Amino acid sequence: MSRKRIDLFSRVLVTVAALLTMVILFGIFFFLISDGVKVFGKISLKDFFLSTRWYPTYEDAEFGILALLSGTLAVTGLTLLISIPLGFISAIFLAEFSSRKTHDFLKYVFELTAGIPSVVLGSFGLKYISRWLMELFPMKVWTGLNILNASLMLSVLAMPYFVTLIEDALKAVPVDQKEASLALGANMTSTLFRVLIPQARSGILNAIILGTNRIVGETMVVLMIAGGATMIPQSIFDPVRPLTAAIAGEMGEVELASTHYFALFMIGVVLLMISLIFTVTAMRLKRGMRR
Amino acid sequence: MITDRIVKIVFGIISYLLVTIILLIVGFLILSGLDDINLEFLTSFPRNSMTEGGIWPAILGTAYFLSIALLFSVPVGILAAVYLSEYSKENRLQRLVLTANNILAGIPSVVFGMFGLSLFSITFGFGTSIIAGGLTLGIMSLPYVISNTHESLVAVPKSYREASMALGANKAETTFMIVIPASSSRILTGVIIAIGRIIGETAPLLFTGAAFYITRNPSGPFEPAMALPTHIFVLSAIYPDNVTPQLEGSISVLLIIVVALFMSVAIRRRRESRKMEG
Amino acid sequence: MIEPIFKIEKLNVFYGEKHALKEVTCDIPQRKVTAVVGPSGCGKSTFLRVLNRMNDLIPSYRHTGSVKLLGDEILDMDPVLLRKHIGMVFQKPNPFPKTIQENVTYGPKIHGIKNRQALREITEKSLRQAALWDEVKDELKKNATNLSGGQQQRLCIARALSVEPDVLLLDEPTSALDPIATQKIETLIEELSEKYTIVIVTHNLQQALRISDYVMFFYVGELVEFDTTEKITSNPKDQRTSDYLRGIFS
Repeated sequence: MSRKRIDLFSRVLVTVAALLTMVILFGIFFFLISDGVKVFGKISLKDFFLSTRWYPTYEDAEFGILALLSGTLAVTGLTLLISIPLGFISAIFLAEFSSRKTHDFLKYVFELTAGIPSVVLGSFGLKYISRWLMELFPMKVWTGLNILNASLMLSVLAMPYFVTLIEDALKAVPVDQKEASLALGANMTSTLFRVLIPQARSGILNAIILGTNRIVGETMVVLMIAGGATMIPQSIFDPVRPLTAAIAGEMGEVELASTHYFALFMIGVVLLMISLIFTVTAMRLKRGMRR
Repeated sequence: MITDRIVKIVFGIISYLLVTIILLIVGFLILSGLDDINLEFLTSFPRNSMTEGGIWPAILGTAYFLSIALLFSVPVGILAAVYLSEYSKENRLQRLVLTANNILAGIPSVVFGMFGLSLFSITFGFGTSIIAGGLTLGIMSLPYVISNTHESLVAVPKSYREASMALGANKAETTFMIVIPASSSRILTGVIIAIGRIIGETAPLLFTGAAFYITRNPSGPFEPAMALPTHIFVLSAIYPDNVTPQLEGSISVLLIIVVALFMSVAIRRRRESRKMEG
Repeated sequence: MIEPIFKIEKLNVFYGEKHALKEVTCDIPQRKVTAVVGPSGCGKSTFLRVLNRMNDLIPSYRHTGSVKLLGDEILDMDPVLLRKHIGMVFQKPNPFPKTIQENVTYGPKIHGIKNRQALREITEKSLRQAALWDEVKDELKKNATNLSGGQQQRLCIARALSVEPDVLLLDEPTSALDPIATQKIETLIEELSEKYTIVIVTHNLQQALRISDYVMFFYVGELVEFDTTEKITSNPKDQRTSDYLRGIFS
């Protein structure tokens, strides 16, 4: 091949590779939606989204995902309550109050944490946390596999995201803003709360959205330790069956092309839409930030 | 300034506490499995309904799944990143590709598993197999390979490209002979990060490629295989307490691999940033 | 005047809306050193990058008018061939992060020379011409980024010479170097001018006067004056040129 030909061929090759990402994305939507919508031939839209009764293997099977959705909501909510404040505090410490050595060490550990496989944390929660919860709250807990247990383990997974992304957001505020405030005699703490955090607002929101997206989509931890009960929870000690846990737990035994199979794919579509909305919102925020 | 000191101390204590808890969990899990790991454990098959024996097929299976995944995502990811950094102007198409990549990176792994099941296992007829599971993991790792490589390529100084063009090199020659070699070390770091992301993935493999228990090695890519994370899941969720040593050993092995990958990334990054400063 | 290598007529350069060079008409003589000078932002680097079409890499760039290299309109030429005829050395030394030898043989290789003996000869010849051979002949396999700044810049000159160009474009080649390295490069430029046409952009007026045969003076996108160095220094025709020479603009 001549040099010109190779040049042209490369151009085509890399463009095709880039377009492939879009093809894959459309493929995911296509395959999930085309199987997912078939559930509505058997189940009404209303029953699917508003019924709390998820009994896929009963004689008169029922496929209402409201209880599953409430499980996802409960676990995600509690995880955010635990991990956002802690993540925020660590991010502030890393960004403004730590020496370089401390900073690097803490950051290494948080980055390592992001790499812990979730199945390992699930296993840890199953074996140890559940037992500790039973011992700590003997009056309240009737199963060690519950919202609190799952949220604790999910917090370990989610926190590094919050720490890293919030720290980045704080550091993205121009130095002159910080210096201007300090030069006026403000101390670091009020500079932080009056200048840095307000200015990093959209970056922090961006971090929260991306972290939430991870928590909602996390599967193994909730499959193993959220308890698996299809019920609307009344307390943080209740067991639940989040959306991802239902898919992962039931996909293995489901009969192909059955209503149950299609229902699980519809749940997949719901998860896909949630992550699409989160990601696009985060991208919008980020673009707004740059302007 | 007293407020600053208090904030610093309180926030510092909380941060160190968190890090200590994390390190304790990781350390505890590694250590409690350490005495179960020996050559026999690493190189033998599970026996007697997995209550005895080792994890050799799970280690091998994980290597199979990862190889297929990287065989797909590394070349495709590097080429796509080359498109983004070298060939595309800041136009609509580039924005679309970047957006698609971001959305892909945010999709839950269980959804990738369903896609893999639907496309590779059913539509392509690969069934539950190494190739179906590997390709599913490959697609999952693609957005990481693309964004890490893109970052590495963008970091290559513009002056290298100019010098090459000024010598009469065309775009392809400049890209493949100058830009990619100049960033190869960083690209490799990005690939290691991508491996770290998918090595512990469990749910997608449960749908597409994982065997719970096998007594001989798979004879080809169209057979299922065991994998370390799915093995951990099976041992801890499905079997009762009589597999504790097997479970602890497996967790320990997986965590040691993850920590090793992480350390190599940390070391490489530090070397790279020192090179940049020097 | 000697036969010109470049004939430039009514050259206008635009970056989007910005009119960077206005109605430039001139002939650049062969085998002479032409220095392009003027205050920052006057368009001197832009002018240099017109000649080997490096500006093509900037999306918003376009130019009108005619630029001919030995009679051929450069816009009609394949940029790859054009750049093979025209070597370029940049402001900051930019050797590739490869070995010294690979830096020099990169150009010949992409232009199709595969024979190892031939490549070795080109390496030696180019490095000799760039006055670097004696310093590096025993460490050709060493990474080029380990060389000193001045050595790196001479390596970049050797790299540009490796494809046997007719013209050498130098874009402020000594601005990142210390005085001793600068002096070495200046001597080198004088030697090279026997074989090559050299166009050098420089910020340093003294340097321009020391090494050039001709001087082009640009001011806000206009070619104000172009003459032999002697005439320009002794008898500038334009007020702006004499102001510049006396150091009123910088």
